[in-house]
Amino acid sequence: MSTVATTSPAPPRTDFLRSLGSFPILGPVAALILACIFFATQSDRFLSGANFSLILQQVVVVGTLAIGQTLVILTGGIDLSNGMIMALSSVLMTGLYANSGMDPYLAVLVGMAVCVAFGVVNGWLHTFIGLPPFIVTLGTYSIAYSLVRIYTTATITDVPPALNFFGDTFRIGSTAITYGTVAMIVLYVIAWFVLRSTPAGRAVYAVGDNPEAARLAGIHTGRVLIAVYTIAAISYGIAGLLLVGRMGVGDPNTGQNGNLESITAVVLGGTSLLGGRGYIMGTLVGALIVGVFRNGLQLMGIGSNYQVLITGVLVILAASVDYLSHRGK
Amino acid sequence: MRAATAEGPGKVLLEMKGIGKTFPGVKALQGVSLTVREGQVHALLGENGAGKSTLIKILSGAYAKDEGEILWEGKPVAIRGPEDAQALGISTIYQEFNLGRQLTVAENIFLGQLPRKGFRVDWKTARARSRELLDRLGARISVDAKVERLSVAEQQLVEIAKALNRKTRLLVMDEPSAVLGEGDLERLFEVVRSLQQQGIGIVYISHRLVEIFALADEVTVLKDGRYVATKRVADVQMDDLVRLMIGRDLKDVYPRRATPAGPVLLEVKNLRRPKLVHDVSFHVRAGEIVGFSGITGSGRTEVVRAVFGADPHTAEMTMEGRPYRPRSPKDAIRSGVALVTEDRKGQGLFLKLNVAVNTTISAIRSVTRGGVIRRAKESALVEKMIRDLRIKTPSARFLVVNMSGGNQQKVILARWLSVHTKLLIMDEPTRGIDVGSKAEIYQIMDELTKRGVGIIMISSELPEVLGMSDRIYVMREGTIVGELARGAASEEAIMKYAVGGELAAAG
Amino acid sequence: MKLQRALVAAAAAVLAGEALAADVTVGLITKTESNPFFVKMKEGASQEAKRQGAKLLTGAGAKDGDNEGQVTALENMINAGAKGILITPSDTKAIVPALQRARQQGALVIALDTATEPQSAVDALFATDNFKAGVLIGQWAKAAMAGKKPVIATLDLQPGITVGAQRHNGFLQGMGLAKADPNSSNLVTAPQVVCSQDTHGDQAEGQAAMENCLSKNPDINLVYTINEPAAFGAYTAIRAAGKEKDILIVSVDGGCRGVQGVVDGKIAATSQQYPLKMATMGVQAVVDYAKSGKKVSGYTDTGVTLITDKAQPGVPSKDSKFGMANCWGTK
Repeated sequence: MSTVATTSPAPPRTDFLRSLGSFPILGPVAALILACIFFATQSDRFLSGANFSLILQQVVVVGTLAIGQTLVILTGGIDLSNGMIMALSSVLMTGLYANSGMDPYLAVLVGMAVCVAFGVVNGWLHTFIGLPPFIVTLGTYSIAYSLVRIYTTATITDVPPALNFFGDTFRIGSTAITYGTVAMIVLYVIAWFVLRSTPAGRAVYAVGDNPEAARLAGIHTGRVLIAVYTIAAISYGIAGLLLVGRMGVGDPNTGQNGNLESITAVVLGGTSLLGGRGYIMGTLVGALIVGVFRNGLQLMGIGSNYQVLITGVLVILAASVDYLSHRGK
Repeated sequence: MRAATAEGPGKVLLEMKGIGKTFPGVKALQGVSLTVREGQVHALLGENGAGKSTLIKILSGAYAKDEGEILWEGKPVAIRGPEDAQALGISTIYQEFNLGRQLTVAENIFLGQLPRKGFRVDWKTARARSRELLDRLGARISVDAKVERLSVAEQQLVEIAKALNRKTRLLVMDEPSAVLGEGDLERLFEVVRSLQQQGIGIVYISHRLVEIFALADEVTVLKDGRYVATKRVADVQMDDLVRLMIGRDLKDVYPRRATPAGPVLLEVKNLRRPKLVHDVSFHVRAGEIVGFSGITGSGRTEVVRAVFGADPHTAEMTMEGRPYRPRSPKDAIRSGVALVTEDRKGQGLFLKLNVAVNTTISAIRSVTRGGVIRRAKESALVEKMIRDLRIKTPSARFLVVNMSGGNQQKVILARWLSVHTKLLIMDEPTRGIDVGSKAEIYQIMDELTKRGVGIIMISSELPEVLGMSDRIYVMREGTIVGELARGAASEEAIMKYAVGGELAAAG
Repeated sequence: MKLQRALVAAAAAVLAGEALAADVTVGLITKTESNPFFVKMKEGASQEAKRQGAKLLTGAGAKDGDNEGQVTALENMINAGAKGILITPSDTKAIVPALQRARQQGALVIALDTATEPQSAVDALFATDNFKAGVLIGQWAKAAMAGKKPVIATLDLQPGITVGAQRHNGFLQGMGLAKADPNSSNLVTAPQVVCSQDTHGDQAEGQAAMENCLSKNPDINLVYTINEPAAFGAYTAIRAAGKEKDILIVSVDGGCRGVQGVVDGKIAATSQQYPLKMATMGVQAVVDYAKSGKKVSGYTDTGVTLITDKAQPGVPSKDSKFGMANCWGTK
């Protein structure tokens, strides 16, 4: 088609959805606001600073995992290993102190180093061996899972006070907010800024949209992918640290659903699983949607089976909106 | 009916009268008519956006018409979906083939209608019948080969065989030549002519006037969704068709080349790539357009990808007299070399990203200060490119996936003009682009050379090579077999080298 | 800031309203919502809550071992104004900090069925003596084997979980094969145990585990299972191997389906426990606390009974008729 005016015209019924396609963040935000309004009418306890602070606190771990997941998905990949990398880092960070008497800060560094190693391995296997990320991270998921259990099967309760920092709170007015919540929001702002306003962020989108075109445009796609998987793994390590702060223990049974929960947040946030299109702040909104529904339904006295059911419905709705708004493009 | 004046060998198969189609806000077709006879090749000609695709989608049942009527062998018919079209005997081969890539040739030919013996598929019959169909097309392809292993030309033959197997009486071919190289084209022509002799009516869509003159009996021209004229090909000249199609003359398409060649920009000696390129040496001067001709597979693309650092190779190269050893596209870009790939969508564009991002992706450092992309600088650069290259887009935030081929190509050019490109390599720069945009791209190329940019242009369209190049290298089987100066070049001379007449001393 | 103040004011108003409300909110958090044991527990809590005019909130982890899911449910319930929390901890250690926070916020916390580590992390524990449950089936099995040399497979819960260790260790002690600390969360073993596998108390995993054990050692003649779903999984594997006559299965729980297994001869003996009773007592305790401010404390044994149709001398047991009448019930 030679001119814009005659570009393949859309049937009318998807025009609204298409306009959503231009501002994909609006859908999740609208859903979040509607959910809040609904729960405010259902429970007089929903609309309080303390409750919102609690919801934020409850999405801190998945929200932080989902930062890395978003980066990986933007490159057209997927990371199934994230929850187990988090679990491994959190038992190491606590266990090296509790069982081996290591300095707690050094233990955190070791935990983070293990995350970096996993990230590099994920990225390297994908980039240089050419394995699909699904397979690579399914493998590293199992490896991390077993490493956790080889290291410990017992919950580590002797957590150094330094590691509890992110579970500690400060007050705004009468509302207590954890430092973990602040840390997560800061991480989102950093990720948002990097993706939006730096050459590295552009490279992530470009590689996700079309790796070959990115290479021929002068981008070292291999380096970009390895960096993305590594930075993602660092975010899982930070999630591990936040988890320890929140739970007050090093828990070897944690993280097994971290992959699906973080993918849920990413999808609810309007990011395409095909790569190259999506918004990091959408992921935060997606994580909050899950948190708000879980909290709101609990306040209404509705059991957890229904909470999971509704999450499922929301994911399908979000994916449908995304699909319909980009169909035929 | 204007077309009814044409005398054809067979009886009238299809008549479309006064067809109209409106999409929200756009009248895509208005009062369009088309008549096709048995054993006739009827060309459908028009620029991109002229309505050709919409018309054939109505014919194949993909769209419903809003106005007009369709007659099949004189009787009014309703085509409500692809099944109706198929039941009448209408098959369409789109540019993107509808083949199962993991399936075999025979499985594809019989897709959805495999012969049965009791409960079991009768593979013996399916394979034998496939063989027979392929033989009819002169195709030497194994019926058991997986489609993904076939060349594009061979896949096209499988599509045609599939259509024949469905007792097709009218075959619609949407730009069948767009995906083929020069060598495969002649083969396609033979196939089309043999189908014609079997009494099949053919609607042949193409941009390339040469093909229409080589193949078609009649031609119907569309412009901006309206019917312009139907002519007997024997009665018209090329210039007449161009005028009907775009409203101006063909000779205006190629700019007059008057740039004096400057000093040597790129010097390539003994470029080698195992099995693909053997000892190729050539040079390009500043301000010069160097054409690379040759049939598909002669190694042209492989040469330029090596020069761009995209593939491993050995060579001695210099850029502006300094040693040049690109180990990645990034190295090449840093040295001022740029490549516009043949496969625009697959290797050039970021379809889901916008014009601005596509434009500045390689120049991003130049609009970055302190690690942060400066929006104002970026916008200024993009707006300048949109203005200078006359890119038709509502805004810099428009997604390139929604743009026409010509505008997409301009976005890629904008990308390379945003970095300081000294040598621009263009692989099939106007493939799939309508005549209007072509002229603009030629204009841009001409202007670039005036600024001292050297251009390498690979093209399978001989008129383009002859119209644009200052010097032409002809390649065959991975080597340069001839070098022709502008004055000495002709289609005959190029073809002689390309298909292997006597060997000439390479430049 | 303005919004913040408004929200705080709204929250304060809500809290003020709460103090006047007559109804008491009780939170029940189980390991999962699917296991029939917890379904029964929820049923008991819900009946009792209705009788007392209290409001019951329920929650659970996504699966066994999901500590974060339980913590999240706990926090949401406290926010919803629950006066007391009844919880079956999935991870007996990991849950402790969250329980302590809840207690600091003034909630009464009672562990049901499973003790926390340390047990003092909660106000009170209403539970079966799981070690005793293990000892009973161990003693019974020892008598039933009648001097035959036991070749044992144990289908356990998962590492690090106390309940699993207590039942397993109690069983081996009852058999007289090992000595164990009743509160340990580490599994003891004995030379007669030729195969130990984790099943997470899941039927499908139980079946797979038994298949593996049988291929490892076809001479197995006694199978201990952590619960009845695992026992049914094991039975399926054993029957497929054609050995259902040669192998005794013992288990713990005494759910109605489990007792039916005893009737059908699939399970030889099982230690019956009483989740409905735990829940009923728990709701009662929370309502009392809300009304009088008095907290229950310490451990209350909700009782365990060996159910088998092949009573052995010297091992107290009841038959399956008794089992069916009392399966997971209280009355």
